[in-house]
Amino acid sequence: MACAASTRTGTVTAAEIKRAAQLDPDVELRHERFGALAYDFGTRRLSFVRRRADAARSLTDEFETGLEAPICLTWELTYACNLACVHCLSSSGRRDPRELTTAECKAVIDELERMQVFYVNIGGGEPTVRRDFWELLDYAVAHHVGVKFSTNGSRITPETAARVASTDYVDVQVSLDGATASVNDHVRGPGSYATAIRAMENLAAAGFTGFKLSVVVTRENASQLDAFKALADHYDAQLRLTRLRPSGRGADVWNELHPTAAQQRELYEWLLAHGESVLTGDSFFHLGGYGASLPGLNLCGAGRVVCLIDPIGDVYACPFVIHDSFRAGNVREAGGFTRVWRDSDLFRELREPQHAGACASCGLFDKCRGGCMAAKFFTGLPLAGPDPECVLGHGERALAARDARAAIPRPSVNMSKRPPARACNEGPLEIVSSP
Amino acid sequence: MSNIPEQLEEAAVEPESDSEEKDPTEPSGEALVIEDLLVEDVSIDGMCGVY
Repeated sequence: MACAASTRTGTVTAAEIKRAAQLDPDVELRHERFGALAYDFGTRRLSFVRRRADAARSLTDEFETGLEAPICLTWELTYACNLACVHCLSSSGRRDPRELTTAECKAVIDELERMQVFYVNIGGGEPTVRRDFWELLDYAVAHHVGVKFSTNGSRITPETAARVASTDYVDVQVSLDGATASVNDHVRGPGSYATAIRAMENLAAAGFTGFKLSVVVTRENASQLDAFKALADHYDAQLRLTRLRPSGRGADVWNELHPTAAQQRELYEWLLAHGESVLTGDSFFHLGGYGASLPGLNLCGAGRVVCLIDPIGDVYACPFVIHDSFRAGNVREAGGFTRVWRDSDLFRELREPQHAGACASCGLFDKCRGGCMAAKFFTGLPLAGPDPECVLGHGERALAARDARAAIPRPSVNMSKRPPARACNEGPLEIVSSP
Repeated sequence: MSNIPEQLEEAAVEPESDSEEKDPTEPSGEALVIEDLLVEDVSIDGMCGVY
């Protein structure tokens, strides 16, 4: 371990920091501007070590100026998918022939290992449809890059469940968007509920505890939170709720599916009541304006602590902004991912102090931080302004006041299997319901 | 500016015991003022921008 940190008393070694901070001697330790960062894969403990004298500045403030490397990142290995969820944030369906090769993926993993990125969230598309998926998973783990992969469960057989259960540094996230088949299959497609349940049964039977049941909260399933929690508990899994963004095909259904204001309030209260027993990926920080902050950093991590690598190696600020405006570079370019992360103009810009714009005079800005960049961008709202789901209703008013003639940005990538065009009297959800 | 997130836990960092065996290959522990260190834990799930 080459990490060392400078203090006012001189340079200290990683071993000294770990010993002083009572960290396991085997944890990965990474140098940061403001100290060191440690991640213990065994306990999932992420720790920041810094001088007390520097603690007047909050970690959130430190993070907003960017880290030396992402803590974790999302890597969509493929846009190929055997489902066609109506709200797919990456508009997945078909494989892009320009996908990174196995060798290129391994080179990226080598780079992530050198940068000490603690783990990758692999998604897609359905990542397990890539023939080299398990090879890449094993390669990442062997190179000290942990893997959490998102799946619809279709390839989680008893055999693959046993495989992931026996592999350190691997976590699985099974997607389900309804606690009942009717609600789930309406957005994820016929049979997808049964597929996900079977996958969870296989994981539980293999002894894999603590895997994630991942739910995108929608208008249709917001009343099922207790049922989702019970389902996760039944399989000894952990519930993870995330926010519906108007990204990818999600833009087509956002008006119909995003939770109502009343549901948002109920969700906030439910999350507060359940604390850290329910994960959220910090994606509901825009609800902090209701009162107490929810667990999490309450910070947009895009380009600061996280980012996205897409199947062809393009690097975006986060998985929810697949648009040229948020493309920072490509891992195939000179300097690879490291150069993109550290030197791209976009990421440098995101790490500068952001303007609150129309929210500057709002007393709740410190709570919600203006909400989600992607949600604003793909609803045609200015980035310096309220989130479309602002708890004070400023977002709704801003949506109503949009210039009807102004074009709302569309995702730069659309690998959907079927064209998004539809009859004008037919809602996008009907695509799934149709025979 | 925002407060330190509520889930942060400050871990007490105790001074090393005088009797602890030192690694002779490493710089002296005296170079590090141990009481100066603050350890803050954050949920690994607490990063918005992953799914």
